[in-house]
Amino acid sequence: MKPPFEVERDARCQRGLRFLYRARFDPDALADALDAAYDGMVVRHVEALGDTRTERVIVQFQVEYRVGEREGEVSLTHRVSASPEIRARSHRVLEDTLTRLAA
Amino acid sequence: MTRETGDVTRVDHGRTLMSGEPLVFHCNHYNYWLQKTLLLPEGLGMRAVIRDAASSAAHAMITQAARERGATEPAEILRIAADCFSALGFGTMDFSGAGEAGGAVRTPTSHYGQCLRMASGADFAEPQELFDQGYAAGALAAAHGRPAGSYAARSEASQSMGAEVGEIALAPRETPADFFTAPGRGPHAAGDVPPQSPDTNVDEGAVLSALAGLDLSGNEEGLLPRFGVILTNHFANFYDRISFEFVRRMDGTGMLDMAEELLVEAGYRCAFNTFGGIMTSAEWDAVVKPQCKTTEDWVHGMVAVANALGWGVWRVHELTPSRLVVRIWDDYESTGYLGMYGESDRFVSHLAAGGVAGLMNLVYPGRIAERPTLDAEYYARIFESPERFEPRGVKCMASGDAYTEVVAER
Repeated sequence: MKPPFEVERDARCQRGLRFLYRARFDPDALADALDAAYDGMVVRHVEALGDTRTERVIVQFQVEYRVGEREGEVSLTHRVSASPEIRARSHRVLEDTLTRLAA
Repeated sequence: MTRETGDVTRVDHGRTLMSGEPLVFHCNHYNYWLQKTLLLPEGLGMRAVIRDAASSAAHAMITQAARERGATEPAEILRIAADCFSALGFGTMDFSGAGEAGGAVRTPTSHYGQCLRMASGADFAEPQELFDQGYAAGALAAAHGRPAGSYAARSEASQSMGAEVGEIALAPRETPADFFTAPGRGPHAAGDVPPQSPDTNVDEGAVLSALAGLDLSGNEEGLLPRFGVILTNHFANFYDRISFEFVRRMDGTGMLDMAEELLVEAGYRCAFNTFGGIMTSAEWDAVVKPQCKTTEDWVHGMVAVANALGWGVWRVHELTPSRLVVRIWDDYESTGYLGMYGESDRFVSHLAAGGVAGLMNLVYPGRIAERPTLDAEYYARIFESPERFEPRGVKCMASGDAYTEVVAER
């Protein structure tokens, strides 16, 4: 079955660290679901730029998810020191969450 | 995250100081390219120049930051040094293994150790953490009230070569007689700067206000991923010293023109990656892009953002699809040159020149508005195209002009 998201690897300066996921989701619901997926062990910030409200969901030393920067887009940026296992888990958490929200 | 750093001061002409040391934003790709350029010719002794420039700027900032915080004990001062290192996006630094007699400093994370690898695409054959070495040496000297050049530093373990954690060995030494002293803010322009060009839909004040609300300090790893790039809020005097000393030493081998061209090339890389990253970022889409009604607005918009980077004040004096004239007040290359060497008989603002032409290359032949993939192939395509823009330095504050002027034409 085709997953309910598309993923693009950033080829620029953050290559290997940053990925863009495109899907249909409610930004608040996604941020809350990511928070819950880590049992609340996240740091959350809201960043307002013009009319854009971005929710940053940060799992320290692991990953930062930025929800709402662009409509239908969430970015995943690995922390530099995150191990390959942690990086794989960070993708899995986001993909499972997007899949669950799309169901 | 609470960090104890030096005082941050906004001064005229878009400049920012931390404890008296001017700061400028640059990304990992520029840091990689500049260092690669400087280390390319063998026999110039540039590794020591890079280390000592870092040591001098760090020593000046940390000494002043300790005064501002009322810190007198070495351990307190080193905590401030570590916090500044992280806040500025350089990584994390652990001084617990170092004392007045020297010792080991660890870097669990490092911009130079880890983020340059992303730009190069591979491990390095030699340690790239020369800045970290100098910073650690300058910090330890500041903590123990010794002169900036009083520790020698070398990498014992290098993340740029694949080590998991960086380690720097420090040992006391006699300060070299020709040790560089960072000039602080240096001479700068007096008087007002003309307002933004009226020939644009972009409101620079609104752009600067929006960007001022962003947190542009290092994350819990002490690194600063932003705008699709990894930034450092770096010492202007560091960039100036290493660039000008490179030019001076290349001049000694009869390759002055080539040295200046290489620094302009580094400016192209900066424009391509940092400007390109910014102009394809979500932050750009939120703040600047809605104001861009014409292609020329993209140039004005990027100039507005550049005015938040600490590089001085850029003003678009003339803009057509085939020509851009930018005037710059207090460009950090000129102010640094004046502070370090006095007046110059040559144009010195090579980063600015590369940046101005690079911006035009991105907007016109590069069609940045169409969000191309900014990779090596694309760089070659637009910067080697017959349609490319090339810069000419017309005026320079370091040569006594009231402002620096760069013309980019094709």
